Amino acid sequence: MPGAEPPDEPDAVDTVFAALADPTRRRLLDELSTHGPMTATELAAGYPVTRQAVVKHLGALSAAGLLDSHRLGREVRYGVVPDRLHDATAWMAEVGQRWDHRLEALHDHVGRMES
Amino acid sequence: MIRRQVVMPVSPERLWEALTEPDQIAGWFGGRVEWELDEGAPVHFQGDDGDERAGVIEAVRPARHLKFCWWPVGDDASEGASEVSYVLEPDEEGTRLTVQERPIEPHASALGGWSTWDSRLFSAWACTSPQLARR
Repeated sequence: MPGAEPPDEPDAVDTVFAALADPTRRRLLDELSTHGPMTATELAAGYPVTRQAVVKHLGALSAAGLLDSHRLGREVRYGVVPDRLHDATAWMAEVGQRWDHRLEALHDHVGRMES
Repeated sequence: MIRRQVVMPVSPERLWEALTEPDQIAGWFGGRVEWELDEGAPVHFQGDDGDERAGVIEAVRPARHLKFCWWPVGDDASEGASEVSYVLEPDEEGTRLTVQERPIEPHASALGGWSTWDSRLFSAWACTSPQLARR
């Protein structure tokens, strides 16, 4: 598993959202945020899925730049890249809140149109 | 990507007016929008909070669907280009509106050493680049 370079293609943030869309991947990310860097074998021990499936999910998270990996002997340890996650969630929170306000105002606005 | 769905108590035609006519938009959007509803036409947005954006209209289907792309042109280029889409569907209680906004370029921080000017150019390119806009 190569070390995760921050992706620089135009849809990098999109890739983060796609990676986060899967509940197992969110749990893995949560686990790694809580416990720090772990190997796929350690992570798989806590899941009803195979080590192979965990490795695949870790690959998707790494491709999105959410995890980086370091080889330690025969095992690879995965850790969270906090900035990437922060970028994506901060964008969602900020833009989402802006739309919540707009849609509330739009609802009032169209109410006035009808009367 | 963010996605919101709400039912508005008016017909799709009335909601379309509220969503697209600059004088109506000023009543709820939090700023002034200037645009002609033609695919490829420029968008200019001046937010009440000073946020200024440029953009391009990508799709227009009156009373059904509008899609545009926009990016900040002010000094704060921390946010990049994003694509906004409105979908209007008739509903028993009026019109169901689905709003989606998704980023189409990395954030300024992800661009690393890029200058503000570079990232603005990049936003304009990402927005108008057909292969990106079509996705």
